[in-house]
Amino acid sequence: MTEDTPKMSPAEAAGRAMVARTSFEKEAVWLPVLAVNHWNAGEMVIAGKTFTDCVIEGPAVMAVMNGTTFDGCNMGAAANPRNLLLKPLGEKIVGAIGMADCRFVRCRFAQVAFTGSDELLADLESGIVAGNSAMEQAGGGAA
Amino acid sequence: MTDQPISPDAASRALDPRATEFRGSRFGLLDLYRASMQAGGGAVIEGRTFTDCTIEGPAVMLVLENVFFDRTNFGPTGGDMRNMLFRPLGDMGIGAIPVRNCTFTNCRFLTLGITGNDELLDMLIAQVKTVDDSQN
Repeated sequence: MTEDTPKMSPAEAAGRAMVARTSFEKEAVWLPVLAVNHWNAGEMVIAGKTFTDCVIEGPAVMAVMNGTTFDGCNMGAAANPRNLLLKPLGEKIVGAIGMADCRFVRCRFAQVAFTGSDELLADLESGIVAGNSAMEQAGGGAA
Repeated sequence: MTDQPISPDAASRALDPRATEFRGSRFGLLDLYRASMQAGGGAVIEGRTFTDCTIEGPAVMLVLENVFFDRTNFGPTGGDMRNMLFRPLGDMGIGAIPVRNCTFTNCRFLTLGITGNDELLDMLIAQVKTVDDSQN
């Protein structure tokens, strides 16, 4: 007897389950895997998720898109906050992980760089110093 | 839904992360980087030759010294090579995957960005023919 609908592999099913989630709390999130799971589900941008007290791991470059916010986050270890920033040379962005309408609350980023518009990069540069400082004063890390 | 999933795990697992020559392989750059690090290869992909390989992201490659691209298809760039290029604002390459002393011959990149010094970026913009999305 044959089945009409092919079953997903366990790995694909797990990937789809990850894509369906809208909130992540107190866990480590490997950003490239999150991106690939979205891409394989036909979603080229990660959108509408809230990450609270998470560690967001790279290596990866995040393209910060409309509606994405960082609240009390440690953006990563860098003596110079500009080391975490990359300026895109074109109007489109290839190779970075697009994130729109996502909210990061008290998260810590490890080996993640950020890219976006000039205005966003300027905001991030000032925000990285303030955010890292605030998190250190609050006692440190996530997850 | 894409017709071919990115980062096929089986193919990546089959790679020898310390090999110096890769021929006809398809793998994620990040998978090679992590496997190489775990195998004691250090935090840079170094001293490798890639021939006829398809190399996938999502990732941004930090191109360091002595990296050569020979007949490389840089993948869909939206008609403008600059769409896959990033200029570091600082002097470190956090978040990117560093590559040094490597040669890519007749390889194809998918969803890979590139960063490096101004000289490299300017050279790529000037010398690389853009690839139209419809050809990939």
